[in-house]
Amino acid sequence: MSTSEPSVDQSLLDTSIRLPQNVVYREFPHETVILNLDTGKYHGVNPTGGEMLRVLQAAPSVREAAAQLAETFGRPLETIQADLLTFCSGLLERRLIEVVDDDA
Amino acid sequence: MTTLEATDSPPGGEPELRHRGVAFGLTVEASFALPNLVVGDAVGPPSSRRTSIQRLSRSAMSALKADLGPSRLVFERRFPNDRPMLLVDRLPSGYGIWGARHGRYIVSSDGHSIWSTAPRRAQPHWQRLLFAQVLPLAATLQGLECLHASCVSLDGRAFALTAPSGTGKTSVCLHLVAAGADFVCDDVLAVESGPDGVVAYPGARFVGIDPKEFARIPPAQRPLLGTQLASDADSRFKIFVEPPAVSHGTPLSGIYFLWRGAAARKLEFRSLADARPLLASRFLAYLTDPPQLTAQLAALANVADKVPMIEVSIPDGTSAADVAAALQDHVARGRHDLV
Repeated sequence: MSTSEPSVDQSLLDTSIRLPQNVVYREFPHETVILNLDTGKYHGVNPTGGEMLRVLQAAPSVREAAAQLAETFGRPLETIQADLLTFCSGLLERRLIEVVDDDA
Repeated sequence: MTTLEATDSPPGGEPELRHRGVAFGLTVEASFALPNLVVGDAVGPPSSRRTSIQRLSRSAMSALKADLGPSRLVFERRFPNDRPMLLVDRLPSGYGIWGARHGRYIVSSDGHSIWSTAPRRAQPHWQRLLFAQVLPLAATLQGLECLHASCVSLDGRAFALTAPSGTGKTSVCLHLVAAGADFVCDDVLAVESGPDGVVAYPGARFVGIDPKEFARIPPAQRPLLGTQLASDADSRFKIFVEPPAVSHGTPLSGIYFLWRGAAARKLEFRSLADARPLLASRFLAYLTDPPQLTAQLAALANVADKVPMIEVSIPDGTSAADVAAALQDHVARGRHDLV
Protein backbone atom coordinates (compact mmCIF):
# COMPACT_ATOMS: atom_id res chain seq x y z
CA MET A 1 0.00 0.00 0.00
CA SER A 2 1.51 3.39 -0.92
CA THR A 3 1.92 6.09 1.72
CA SER A 4 -0.25 8.46 -0.32
CA GLU A 5 -3.39 6.32 0.09
CA PRO A 6 -5.84 7.45 2.78
CA SER A 7 -5.64 5.36 5.96
CA VAL A 8 -8.61 3.20 6.89
CA ASP A 9 -10.12 2.86 10.31
CA GLN A 10 -8.21 0.03 12.01
CA SER A 11 -10.75 -0.07 14.83
CA LEU A 12 -13.14 -1.73 12.37
CA LEU A 13 -11.13 -4.92 12.81
CA ASP A 14 -12.73 -5.58 16.17
CA THR A 15 -16.29 -4.82 15.10
CA SER A 16 -18.98 -7.02 13.69
CA ILE A 17 -20.56 -6.13 10.35
CA ARG A 18 -24.06 -6.75 9.07
CA LEU A 19 -26.21 -5.75 6.14
CA PRO A 20 -28.91 -3.19 6.99
CA GLN A 21 -32.48 -4.33 6.44
CA ASN A 22 -32.75 -2.21 3.31
CA VAL A 23 -29.83 -3.98 1.58
CA VAL A 24 -29.92 -7.34 -0.21
CA TYR A 25 -27.49 -9.06 -2.53
CA ARG A 26 -27.44 -11.92 -5.01
CA GLU A 27 -24.66 -13.74 -6.76
CA PHE A 28 -24.49 -13.44 -10.53
CA PRO A 29 -22.12 -15.62 -12.60
CA HIS A 30 -19.24 -13.12 -12.60
CA GLU A 31 -20.07 -10.71 -9.82
CA THR A 32 -22.20 -10.09 -6.76
CA VAL A 33 -24.88 -7.44 -7.10
CA ILE A 34 -25.85 -5.51 -4.00
CA LEU A 35 -29.15 -3.64 -4.03
CA ASN A 36 -30.13 -0.76 -1.79
CA LEU A 37 -33.90 -1.20 -1.53
CA ASP A 38 -34.40 2.38 -0.36
CA THR A 39 -32.67 4.00 -3.31
CA GLY A 40 -33.19 1.24 -5.91
CA LYS A 41 -29.50 1.55 -6.74
CA TYR A 42 -27.42 -1.48 -7.70
CA HIS A 43 -23.75 -1.93 -6.79
CA GLY A 44 -21.54 -4.61 -8.31
CA VAL A 45 -18.55 -6.22 -6.65
CA ASN A 46 -16.17 -8.70 -8.21
CA PRO A 47 -16.04 -12.34 -7.05
CA THR A 48 -13.41 -11.53 -4.43
CA GLY A 49 -15.61 -8.78 -3.04
CA GLY A 50 -18.56 -11.15 -3.07
CA GLU A 51 -16.64 -13.69 -1.03
CA MET A 52 -15.55 -10.96 1.39
CA LEU A 53 -19.16 -9.90 1.84
CA ARG A 54 -20.34 -13.42 2.56
CA VAL A 55 -17.58 -14.09 5.10
CA LEU A 56 -18.05 -10.69 6.76
CA GLN A 57 -21.71 -11.44 7.39
CA ALA A 58 -21.00 -14.80 8.97
CA ALA A 59 -17.90 -13.98 11.00
CA PRO A 60 -18.14 -12.57 14.54
CA SER A 61 -15.69 -9.78 13.71
CA VAL A 62 -13.86 -8.22 10.77
CA ARG A 63 -10.61 -9.55 12.25
CA GLU A 64 -11.88 -13.12 12.18
CA ALA A 65 -13.27 -12.62 8.68
CA ALA A 66 -9.82 -11.50 7.56
CA ALA A 67 -8.22 -14.59 9.11
CA GLN A 68 -10.66 -16.84 7.28
CA LEU A 69 -10.17 -15.03 3.98
CA ALA A 70 -6.38 -15.14 4.31
CA GLU A 71 -6.62 -18.90 4.53
CA THR A 72 -9.11 -19.13 1.65
CA PHE A 73 -7.10 -16.94 -0.69
CA GLY A 74 -3.68 -18.10 0.52
CA ARG A 75 -2.53 -14.51 1.06
CA PRO A 76 -0.69 -12.86 3.99
CA LEU A 77 -3.00 -11.85 6.83
CA GLU A 78 -1.78 -8.23 6.85
CA THR A 79 -2.57 -7.84 3.16
CA ILE A 80 -6.04 -9.29 3.54
CA GLN A 81 -6.73 -7.13 6.60
CA ALA A 82 -5.79 -4.01 4.68
CA ASP A 83 -7.88 -5.05 1.65
CA LEU A 84 -10.83 -5.96 3.82
CA LEU A 85 -10.72 -2.68 5.74
CA THR A 86 -10.65 -0.74 2.47
CA PHE A 87 -13.58 -2.81 1.21
CA CYS A 88 -15.56 -2.22 4.40
CA SER A 89 -14.85 1.51 4.26
CA GLY A 90 -16.25 1.66 0.75
CA LEU A 91 -19.36 -0.27 1.71
CA LEU A 92 -19.87 1.86 4.83
CA GLU A 93 -19.55 5.02 2.78
CA ARG A 94 -22.30 3.74 0.47
CA ARG A 95 -24.37 2.58 3.49
CA LEU A 96 -24.39 -0.97 2.23
CA ILE A 97 -23.18 -2.38 5.55
CA GLU A 98 -23.39 -1.21 9.12
CA VAL A 99 -21.40 -1.84 12.25
CA VAL A 100 -23.26 -3.93 14.80
CA ASP A 101 -23.62 -1.91 17.98
CA ASP A 102 -22.94 -4.33 20.82
CA ASP A 103 -24.30 -1.85 23.32
CA ALA A 104 -27.71 -1.61 21.63
CA MET B 1 -61.95 4.24 0.75
CA THR B 2 -62.47 1.18 -1.43
CA THR B 3 -60.06 -1.73 -1.42
CA LEU B 4 -59.78 -3.76 -4.56
CA GLU B 5 -60.19 -7.49 -4.14
CA ALA B 6 -59.71 -10.05 -6.84
CA THR B 7 -63.37 -11.00 -6.67
CA ASP B 8 -64.75 -7.47 -6.84
CA SER B 9 -67.40 -6.88 -9.46
CA PRO B 10 -67.61 -3.57 -11.25
CA PRO B 11 -70.56 -1.30 -10.69
CA GLY B 12 -73.48 -2.76 -12.62
CA GLY B 13 -72.90 -6.44 -11.94
CA GLU B 14 -70.76 -9.31 -13.10
CA PRO B 15 -70.05 -9.32 -16.84
CA GLU B 16 -69.45 -12.51 -18.73
CA LEU B 17 -65.77 -13.15 -19.43
CA ARG B 18 -66.27 -14.70 -22.83
CA HIS B 19 -62.97 -13.92 -24.49
CA ARG B 20 -59.92 -15.94 -23.51
CA GLY B 21 -56.31 -16.26 -24.47
CA VAL B 22 -52.80 -16.25 -23.08
CA ALA B 23 -50.28 -13.46 -22.78
CA PHE B 24 -47.18 -12.90 -20.67
CA GLY B 25 -47.64 -16.20 -18.83
CA LEU B 26 -51.21 -15.42 -17.81
CA THR B 27 -54.53 -16.86 -18.81
CA VAL B 28 -56.47 -13.77 -19.78
CA GLU B 29 -60.25 -13.61 -19.65
CA ALA B 30 -62.03 -10.52 -20.87
CA SER B 31 -65.55 -9.21 -21.18
CA PHE B 32 -64.70 -7.77 -24.61
CA ALA B 33 -62.77 -8.94 -27.64
CA LEU B 34 -58.99 -8.62 -27.60
CA PRO B 35 -57.94 -9.21 -31.18
CA ASN B 36 -54.23 -9.49 -30.50
CA LEU B 37 -54.44 -12.08 -27.77
CA VAL B 38 -52.75 -15.41 -28.45
CA VAL B 39 -55.22 -18.28 -28.26
CA GLY B 40 -53.91 -20.67 -25.63
CA ASP B 41 -53.29 -24.31 -26.30
CA ALA B 42 -54.34 -27.21 -24.10
CA VAL B 43 -51.38 -26.72 -21.79
CA GLY B 44 -51.67 -23.17 -20.63
CA PRO B 45 -50.22 -21.23 -17.74
CA PRO B 46 -50.93 -22.54 -14.24
CA SER B 47 -54.57 -21.94 -13.33
CA SER B 48 -53.44 -19.75 -10.44
CA ARG B 49 -51.92 -17.28 -12.91
CA ARG B 50 -54.82 -15.59 -14.54
CA THR B 51 -56.30 -12.17 -14.90
CA SER B 52 -59.77 -10.96 -15.76
CA ILE B 53 -60.41 -7.76 -17.69
CA GLN B 54 -63.71 -5.97 -17.38
CA ARG B 55 -64.80 -2.94 -19.28
CA LEU B 56 -66.25 0.08 -17.47
CA SER B 57 -67.92 3.24 -18.61
CA ARG B 58 -65.91 6.44 -18.12
CA SER B 59 -68.13 7.53 -15.26
CA ALA B 60 -67.83 4.14 -13.51
CA MET B 61 -64.04 4.23 -13.91
CA SER B 62 -63.86 7.76 -12.47
CA ALA B 63 -66.00 6.70 -9.53
CA LEU B 64 -63.85 3.62 -8.93
CA LYS B 65 -60.64 5.62 -9.05
CA ALA B 66 -62.03 8.21 -6.65
CA ASP B 67 -63.15 5.47 -4.26
CA LEU B 68 -59.72 3.85 -4.23
CA GLY B 69 -58.17 6.79 -2.48
CA PRO B 70 -55.21 9.06 -3.14
CA SER B 71 -52.87 8.24 -5.99
CA ARG B 72 -49.16 8.87 -6.42
CA LEU B 73 -47.60 9.32 -9.84
CA VAL B 74 -44.81 6.75 -10.23
CA PHE B 75 -44.09 6.96 -13.94
CA GLU B 76 -44.73 9.37 -16.80
CA ARG B 77 -43.74 9.66 -20.41
CA ARG B 78 -44.41 12.78 -22.46
CA PHE B 79 -44.65 13.76 -26.10
CA PRO B 80 -42.07 16.21 -27.48
CA ASN B 81 -44.62 19.00 -26.94
CA ASP B 82 -44.69 18.01 -23.24
CA ARG B 83 -48.24 16.71 -23.35
CA PRO B 84 -48.62 13.52 -21.31
CA MET B 85 -48.37 10.27 -23.26
CA LEU B 86 -48.38 7.66 -20.50
CA LEU B 87 -49.08 8.05 -16.78
CA VAL B 88 -48.86 5.36 -14.10
CA ASP B 89 -50.24 6.00 -10.62
CA ARG B 90 -49.74 3.96 -7.49
CA LEU B 91 -53.08 3.50 -5.77
CA PRO B 92 -53.59 2.18 -2.24
CA SER B 93 -54.65 -1.21 -3.64
CA GLY B 94 -53.35 -1.27 -7.16
CA TYR B 95 -52.12 0.76 -10.08
CA GLY B 96 -53.78 3.17 -12.50
CA ILE B 97 -52.49 3.42 -16.06
CA TRP B 98 -53.59 6.06 -18.56
CA GLY B 99 -52.41 6.45 -22.14
CA ALA B 100 -53.21 9.32 -24.52
CA ARG B 101 -55.80 7.96 -27.01
CA HIS B 102 -55.43 4.52 -25.41
CA GLY B 103 -57.81 4.66 -22.48
CA ARG B 104 -57.49 4.06 -18.77
CA TYR B 105 -56.89 0.93 -16.73
CA ILE B 106 -56.82 -0.04 -13.09
CA VAL B 107 -54.88 -3.13 -12.04
CA SER B 108 -55.41 -4.75 -8.64
CA SER B 109 -52.37 -5.18 -6.39
CA ASP B 110 -52.31 -8.92 -6.98
CA GLY B 111 -52.62 -8.53 -10.76
CA HIS B 112 -55.69 -10.77 -10.95
CA SER B 113 -58.18 -8.05 -11.91
CA ILE B 114 -58.08 -5.29 -14.49
CA TRP B 115 -60.70 -2.68 -15.21
CA SER B 116 -60.61 -0.90 -18.55
CA THR B 117 -62.15 2.18 -20.15
CA ALA B 118 -61.84 3.02 -23.82
CA PRO B 119 -60.60 6.51 -24.82
CA ARG B 120 -63.07 9.16 -25.97
CA ARG B 121 -62.03 8.73 -29.59
CA ALA B 122 -61.11 5.07 -29.76
CA GLN B 123 -58.68 4.26 -32.55
CA PRO B 124 -58.82 0.73 -34.01
CA HIS B 125 -55.91 -0.42 -31.89
CA TRP B 126 -56.58 1.43 -28.66
CA GLN B 127 -55.95 -1.79 -26.72
CA ARG B 128 -52.25 -1.67 -27.46
CA LEU B 129 -51.69 -0.12 -24.04
CA LEU B 130 -53.12 -3.27 -22.52
CA PHE B 131 -50.32 -5.30 -24.09
CA ALA B 132 -47.62 -2.66 -23.84
CA GLN B 133 -48.04 -1.89 -20.14
CA VAL B 134 -51.11 -3.28 -18.38
CA LEU B 135 -50.73 -7.04 -18.88
CA PRO B 136 -46.96 -6.93 -18.26
CA LEU B 137 -47.76 -5.23 -14.96
CA ALA B 138 -50.35 -7.89 -14.09
CA ALA B 139 -47.83 -10.62 -14.93
CA THR B 140 -45.13 -9.04 -12.78
CA LEU B 141 -47.52 -8.64 -9.86
CA GLN B 142 -48.22 -12.38 -10.16
CA GLY B 143 -44.55 -13.31 -9.87
CA LEU B 144 -43.21 -13.26 -13.42
CA GLU B 145 -40.38 -11.02 -14.52
CA CYS B 146 -40.69 -8.77 -17.55
CA LEU B 147 -37.72 -7.72 -19.66
CA HIS B 148 -37.54 -5.03 -22.30
CA ALA B 149 -36.83 -7.51 -25.06
CA SER B 150 -38.11 -9.05 -28.26
CA CYS B 151 -38.02 -12.82 -28.60
CA VAL B 152 -38.18 -15.56 -31.22
CA SER B 153 -38.17 -19.32 -31.03
CA LEU B 154 -35.85 -21.46 -33.13
CA ASP B 155 -36.33 -25.23 -33.00
CA GLY B 156 -38.34 -24.97 -29.80
CA ARG B 157 -35.85 -22.75 -27.99
CA ALA B 158 -36.45 -19.10 -27.24
CA PHE B 159 -33.85 -16.42 -27.84
CA ALA B 160 -34.34 -12.92 -26.51
CA LEU B 161 -33.01 -9.74 -28.09
CA THR B 162 -32.52 -6.72 -25.92
CA ALA B 163 -31.07 -3.35 -26.85
CA PRO B 164 -31.44 0.37 -26.28
CA SER B 165 -34.36 1.88 -28.21
CA GLY B 166 -33.40 2.59 -31.80
CA THR B 167 -30.85 -0.21 -32.08
CA GLY B 168 -33.18 -2.31 -34.21
CA LYS B 169 -34.18 -5.26 -32.06
CA THR B 170 -37.73 -5.29 -33.50
CA SER B 171 -36.37 -5.19 -37.04
CA VAL B 172 -33.92 -8.00 -36.29
CA CYS B 173 -36.73 -9.97 -34.66
CA LEU B 174 -38.96 -9.61 -37.72
CA HIS B 175 -36.18 -10.53 -40.14
CA LEU B 176 -35.73 -13.70 -38.09
CA VAL B 177 -39.48 -14.40 -38.28
CA ALA B 178 -39.43 -13.76 -42.03
CA ALA B 179 -36.60 -16.32 -42.26
CA GLY B 180 -38.67 -18.96 -40.45
CA ALA B 181 -38.31 -18.34 -36.72
CA ASP B 182 -41.44 -18.47 -34.58
CA PHE B 183 -42.54 -15.16 -33.08
CA VAL B 184 -42.73 -15.02 -29.29
CA CYS B 185 -43.04 -11.32 -28.52
CA ASP B 186 -41.88 -7.82 -29.27
CA ASP B 187 -40.71 -5.22 -26.78
CA VAL B 188 -41.85 -6.97 -23.58
CA LEU B 189 -40.82 -10.52 -22.67
CA ALA B 190 -42.30 -12.26 -19.62
CA VAL B 191 -40.05 -14.91 -18.13
CA GLU B 192 -40.37 -17.31 -15.27
CA SER B 193 -37.22 -18.60 -13.66
CA GLY B 194 -37.15 -21.80 -11.69
CA PRO B 195 -34.73 -24.47 -10.55
CA ASP B 196 -34.82 -26.22 -13.93
CA GLY B 197 -34.42 -23.20 -16.13
CA VAL B 198 -36.12 -20.12 -17.47
CA VAL B 199 -39.32 -20.10 -19.51
CA ALA B 200 -40.20 -17.34 -22.00
CA TYR B 201 -43.89 -16.57 -22.58
CA PRO B 202 -45.59 -15.10 -25.64
CA GLY B 203 -46.87 -11.56 -25.52
CA ALA B 204 -49.20 -9.77 -27.89
CA ARG B 205 -49.67 -10.87 -31.46
CA PHE B 206 -48.76 -7.64 -33.16
CA VAL B 207 -45.60 -5.79 -34.05
CA GLY B 208 -44.96 -2.32 -35.45
CA ILE B 209 -42.24 -2.08 -38.05
CA ASP B 210 -40.67 0.83 -39.84
CA PRO B 211 -42.09 0.84 -43.43
CA LYS B 212 -38.55 1.11 -44.84
CA GLU B 213 -37.51 -2.00 -42.92
CA PHE B 214 -40.65 -3.80 -44.04
CA ALA B 215 -39.73 -3.00 -47.63
CA ARG B 216 -36.34 -4.67 -47.12
CA ILE B 217 -37.96 -8.01 -46.30
CA PRO B 218 -38.10 -10.07 -49.51
CA PRO B 219 -41.70 -10.16 -50.81
CA ALA B 220 -41.67 -13.96 -50.78
CA GLN B 221 -40.97 -13.91 -47.04
CA ARG B 222 -43.51 -11.27 -46.03
CA PRO B 223 -46.40 -13.74 -45.63
CA LEU B 224 -44.46 -15.25 -42.72
CA LEU B 225 -44.98 -11.98 -40.87
CA GLY B 226 -48.72 -12.63 -40.84
CA THR B 227 -51.60 -10.31 -41.54
CA GLN B 228 -51.00 -6.63 -42.08
CA LEU B 229 -53.32 -4.75 -39.74
CA ALA B 230 -55.52 -1.80 -40.59
CA SER B 231 -53.88 1.58 -40.30
CA ASP B 232 -54.78 4.22 -37.79
CA ALA B 233 -53.36 7.61 -36.81
CA ASP B 234 -50.46 5.88 -35.06
CA SER B 235 -49.65 3.92 -38.21
CA ARG B 236 -48.32 6.90 -40.11
CA PHE B 237 -44.86 5.90 -39.05
CA LYS B 238 -45.24 2.14 -38.73
CA ILE B 239 -46.75 -0.88 -40.41
CA PHE B 240 -48.41 -3.23 -37.96
CA VAL B 241 -48.40 -6.95 -38.57
CA GLU B 242 -49.94 -9.86 -36.73
CA PRO B 243 -47.47 -12.74 -36.94
CA PRO B 244 -48.39 -16.29 -36.02
CA ALA B 245 -47.07 -16.75 -32.52
CA VAL B 246 -46.16 -19.58 -30.20
CA SER B 247 -48.98 -20.17 -27.76
CA HIS B 248 -47.05 -21.64 -24.84
CA GLY B 249 -43.95 -21.11 -22.74
CA THR B 250 -40.64 -21.97 -24.37
CA PRO B 251 -37.26 -22.61 -22.69
CA LEU B 252 -35.17 -19.45 -22.85
CA SER B 253 -31.87 -20.54 -24.30
CA GLY B 254 -30.01 -17.26 -24.84
CA ILE B 255 -30.21 -13.52 -24.42
CA TYR B 256 -28.54 -11.39 -27.07
CA PHE B 257 -27.65 -7.84 -26.04
CA LEU B 258 -27.35 -5.73 -29.16
CA TRP B 259 -25.43 -2.51 -29.33
CA ARG B 260 -24.48 -0.28 -32.24
CA GLY B 261 -21.74 2.25 -32.32
CA ALA B 262 -18.61 3.59 -33.91
CA ALA B 263 -16.57 1.52 -31.45
CA ALA B 264 -17.88 -1.68 -33.04
CA ARG B 265 -15.44 -2.55 -35.81
CA LYS B 266 -17.16 -5.70 -36.95
CA LEU B 267 -20.29 -7.71 -36.24
CA GLU B 268 -19.14 -9.78 -33.32
CA PHE B 269 -20.56 -12.06 -30.65
CA ARG B 270 -18.96 -12.23 -27.19
CA SER B 271 -19.88 -13.83 -23.92
CA LEU B 272 -21.27 -11.19 -21.58
CA ALA B 273 -19.95 -11.27 -18.02
CA ASP B 274 -21.39 -7.95 -16.89
CA ALA B 275 -24.73 -8.08 -15.07
CA ARG B 276 -25.58 -4.48 -15.83
CA PRO B 277 -27.21 -4.94 -19.27
CA LEU B 278 -29.54 -7.57 -17.79
CA LEU B 279 -30.40 -5.33 -14.85
CA ALA B 280 -30.96 -2.44 -17.26
CA SER B 281 -33.39 -4.51 -19.34
CA ARG B 282 -35.89 -4.74 -16.49
CA PHE B 283 -39.27 -3.57 -17.63
CA LEU B 284 -41.51 -1.60 -15.28
CA ALA B 285 -38.72 0.16 -13.41
CA TYR B 286 -41.37 2.01 -11.39
CA LEU B 287 -42.04 -1.14 -9.34
CA THR B 288 -39.85 -0.21 -6.39
CA ASP B 289 -41.52 -1.76 -3.35
CA PRO B 290 -38.77 -3.63 -1.45
CA PRO B 291 -40.40 -7.07 -1.86
CA GLN B 292 -40.75 -6.41 -5.62
CA LEU B 293 -37.13 -5.32 -5.97
CA THR B 294 -35.87 -8.26 -3.91
CA ALA B 295 -37.86 -10.77 -5.95
CA GLN B 296 -36.72 -9.12 -9.17
CA LEU B 297 -33.04 -9.32 -8.19
CA ALA B 298 -33.38 -12.99 -7.30
CA ALA B 299 -35.17 -13.72 -10.59
CA LEU B 300 -32.53 -11.93 -12.66
CA ALA B 301 -29.71 -13.69 -10.79
CA ASN B 302 -31.38 -16.98 -11.69
CA VAL B 303 -31.74 -15.91 -15.32
CA ALA B 304 -28.07 -14.93 -15.46
CA ASP B 305 -27.11 -18.26 -13.91
CA LYS B 306 -29.13 -20.42 -16.29
CA VAL B 307 -29.25 -18.53 -19.59
CA PRO B 308 -26.21 -17.73 -21.74
CA MET B 309 -25.85 -13.99 -22.24
CA ILE B 310 -24.18 -12.82 -25.43
CA GLU B 311 -23.15 -9.31 -26.39
CA VAL B 312 -23.51 -8.46 -30.08
CA SER B 313 -21.55 -5.47 -31.28
CA ILE B 314 -22.94 -4.04 -34.50
CA PRO B 315 -20.99 -1.55 -36.62
CA ASP B 316 -22.90 1.49 -37.81
CA GLY B 317 -24.53 0.82 -41.16
CA THR B 318 -25.03 -2.91 -40.61
CA SER B 319 -28.52 -3.89 -41.71
CA ALA B 320 -31.03 -5.64 -39.47
CA ALA B 321 -31.17 -8.42 -42.07
CA ASP B 322 -27.42 -9.03 -41.71
CA VAL B 323 -27.67 -9.04 -37.92
CA ALA B 324 -30.55 -11.50 -38.09
CA ALA B 325 -28.63 -13.79 -40.44
CA ALA B 326 -25.55 -13.72 -38.21
CA LEU B 327 -27.63 -14.38 -35.14
CA GLN B 328 -29.40 -17.29 -36.78
CA ASP B 329 -26.03 -18.71 -37.75
CA HIS B 330 -24.72 -18.23 -34.20
CA VAL B 331 -27.68 -20.20 -32.83
CA ALA B 332 -27.46 -22.90 -35.49
CA ARG B 333 -23.80 -23.53 -34.69
CA GLY B 334 -24.65 -23.90 -31.00
CA ARG B 335 -22.31 -21.07 -30.12
CA HIS B 336 -24.73 -19.58 -27.59
CA ASP B 337 -24.22 -22.72 -25.52
CA LEU B 338 -20.46 -22.39 -25.55
CA VAL B 339 -20.32 -19.00 -23.91
